[in-house]
Amino acid sequence: MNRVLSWESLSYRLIGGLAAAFLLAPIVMVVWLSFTPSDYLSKPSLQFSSRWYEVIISDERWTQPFMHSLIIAVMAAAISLCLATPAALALARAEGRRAGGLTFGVMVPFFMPGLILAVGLLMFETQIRLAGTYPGVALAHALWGVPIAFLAIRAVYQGADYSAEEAARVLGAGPVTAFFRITVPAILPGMAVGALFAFVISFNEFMMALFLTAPSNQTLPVTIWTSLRYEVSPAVAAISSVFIGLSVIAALIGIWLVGSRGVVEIGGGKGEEARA
Amino acid sequence: MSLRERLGLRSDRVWLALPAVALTVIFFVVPIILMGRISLTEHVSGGAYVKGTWSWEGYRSFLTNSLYLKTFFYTLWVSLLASAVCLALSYPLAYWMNRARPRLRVVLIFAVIVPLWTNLLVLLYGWLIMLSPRGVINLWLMDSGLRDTPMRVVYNTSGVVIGLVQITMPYAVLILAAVLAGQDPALVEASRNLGATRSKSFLRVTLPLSMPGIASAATVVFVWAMGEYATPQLLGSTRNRFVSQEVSEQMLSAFNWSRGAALAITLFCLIIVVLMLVQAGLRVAARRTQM
Repeated sequence: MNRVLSWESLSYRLIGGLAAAFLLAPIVMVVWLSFTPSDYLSKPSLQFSSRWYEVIISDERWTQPFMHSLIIAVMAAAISLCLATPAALALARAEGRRAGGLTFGVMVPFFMPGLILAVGLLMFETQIRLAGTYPGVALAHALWGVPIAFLAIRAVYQGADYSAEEAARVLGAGPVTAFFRITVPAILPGMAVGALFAFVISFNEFMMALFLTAPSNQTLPVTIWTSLRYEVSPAVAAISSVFIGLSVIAALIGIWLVGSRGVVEIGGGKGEEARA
Repeated sequence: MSLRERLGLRSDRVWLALPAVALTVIFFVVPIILMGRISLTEHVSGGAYVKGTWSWEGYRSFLTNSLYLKTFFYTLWVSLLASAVCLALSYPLAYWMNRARPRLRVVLIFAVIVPLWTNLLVLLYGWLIMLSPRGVINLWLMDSGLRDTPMRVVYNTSGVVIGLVQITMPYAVLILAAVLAGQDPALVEASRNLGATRSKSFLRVTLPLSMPGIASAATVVFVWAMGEYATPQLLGSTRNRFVSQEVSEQMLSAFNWSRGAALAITLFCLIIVVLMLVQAGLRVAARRTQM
């Protein structure tokens, strides 16, 4: 094999590298600036201080929304897992029009912009007195949590050995035993990564939260939004870095659970469904 | 009756998907219908809308207003531009990801997953502190004497495009990478063995085979961009606005739900039309390749 770089291999590395640098630039900048010792945001320097982190962990204005976000994200992940697991098991190997229609029914909110969902949900949840409550926001976030958990569990289940389940049944296990002893262990990584995806999506979601939360359960992204418009203190950079830190941890867990290929397959599954 | 059937292995269990579908129906379909109904109500100042009334006013008030129509065209045009830039950057990255050695590939995937899972406001805020007139890059440029006046990159269309590309690119890369990973490497090999140059085999084999992936990535990115609110609000100008900004204003500050719903329904229909056009295009393309 010749090791001479052709224009083709050079150009995709160059543009791909640029694209990756573009994606990471704001992240690096926010983290760097969050360690500033000064009172306002300026150029990044080589002086570091944890001053603004001390400010945010002692300020209720940031810690309370953090707790609200956490509660909502846990609820959203739980709802997503409970609804997506049976759906994925049912549809992973099903074929035909009906299965296709049901898959579409599970996936369709995933392709809707947050704004459209948010406007409709505000009107609907105001009528049934769900707006401004924790379940109100969590159920809204589950509209995106269920499809992603569905993709994750389905991908893992499709890769699993179906015959093990049959073997268990042939050998005399009842459907319930076979489910808990064979199926659940096989799809566990998918369930874990699905719950993780759903949690992360809910924790980050901003548009529906802006429309559906009340001051008593405002989430962290909504608090960031209001402070982005009225103040530019480095505290925002510090709280933003907390988000970045969580995202790094989540990415590590995700890759550990299903491998880097698995993450691409699940994340890219959105495109596959867009074509179906 | 076969053994499988007797054990209930082939039994129909698609009904297990019904709870998930019920969530879609209750929290997506019903709200959209309600939104459609409210878009047809009368609005009087002091209330969001008047229950039980019928009126076209919500639609008429913006369809006859050239300012609102401009908003729709601006949203459409900037979303198209951002989708094109996003794909032009995502494809090479996805391509590289597929060919890189395992260790480098994990690094590249990590570089895509972290921004994917970082709050979009954080990403936009990062661009704001880099590119705003008093931001990091302008301070560097002016301190080093390269420029006397700050560059105007944000608070205009270029700012919106940068923001949209940033937040949509991770999804586009993953979609494209998943499609490229599914391609049979033997096809490229065969074309090379038959005498095609590297670039020719890329243009004649790899690229055409990834067309469905490109189309679906473009759809996801475009639809997302069309509905974006935070990006134009933070990085755009105050003169050229996105439809979502108008919708939010009507819903949350002007409190005219009839018009807010009418705008949202129009945007929703526009998105559905785009999705259907892409589906139709793909079907035609698929039929042509089969022949």
